[in-house]
Amino acid sequence: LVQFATDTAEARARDQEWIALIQKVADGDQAALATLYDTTNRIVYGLIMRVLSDTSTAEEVLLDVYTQVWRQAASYDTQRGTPLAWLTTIARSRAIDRLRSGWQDQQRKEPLDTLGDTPTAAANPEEVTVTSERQRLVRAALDSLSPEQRDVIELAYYSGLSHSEIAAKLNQPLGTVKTRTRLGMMKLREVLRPILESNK
Amino acid sequence: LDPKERQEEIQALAALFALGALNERETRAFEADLRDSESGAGEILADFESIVTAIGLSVREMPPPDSIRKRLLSRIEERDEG
Repeated sequence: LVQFATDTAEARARDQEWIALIQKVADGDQAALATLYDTTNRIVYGLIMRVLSDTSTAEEVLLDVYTQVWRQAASYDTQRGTPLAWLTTIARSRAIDRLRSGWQDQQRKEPLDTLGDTPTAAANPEEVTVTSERQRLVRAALDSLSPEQRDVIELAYYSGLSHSEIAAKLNQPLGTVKTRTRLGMMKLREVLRPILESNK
Repeated sequence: LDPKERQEEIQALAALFALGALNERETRAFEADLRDSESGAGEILADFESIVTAIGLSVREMPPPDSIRKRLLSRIEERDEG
């Protein structure tokens, strides 16, 4: 608990630094964008790669994400989430858009069920930075789910599939997918309560 | 639906809505639940939206190639000039 409290203080201090950078970016400060990029690109790129599994497409999306940040920094609202939450939301949305446009091309060649199995990034320790307690807590929360619950949530999150697409992909009834999603999200809500409370 | 089933239905719809996994018809139905303050949908959705945002933090961090930083900075410079 003490460790988490310390991390929360550290995380908040880091959030404040990022908020100040985003405000400078909104004023047209290119150096601030460079610093924001330097301190956040690994998680943003990691997320985009998790969705797309293709380096050249992921690099283009990464560029697009920070170009959007440059253009829209003034619209960032601290009331609606932390800076990292804002960045990952933009990154996920752009990566899934790209994934879906890629599917349309690929679906002409192969059926849907061969797609969407996004392998995780190679577990090379040198590529892994020290992660915050907040990140570890989220990983532990996802690990606490049953594989079936985690699968449906990850298919929706990383592949942008609707529940009916998930049901088709897993060959399960729609009701089963709904139940697994509900139980998984309720469990995450319980385990991640400290994060939810600290955001309020 | 009895009250417990109704509550579970709201939870399921809120979870899928937060994940962006509902179809259009269900999205509209859930938005009606959101307008009904007695449904409890708004409160659970706020939590689920925070959770969906947090899921992105679980990814393995990866360094992009150094060239991207240079491309980004020259791209925003071009846009400013343009």
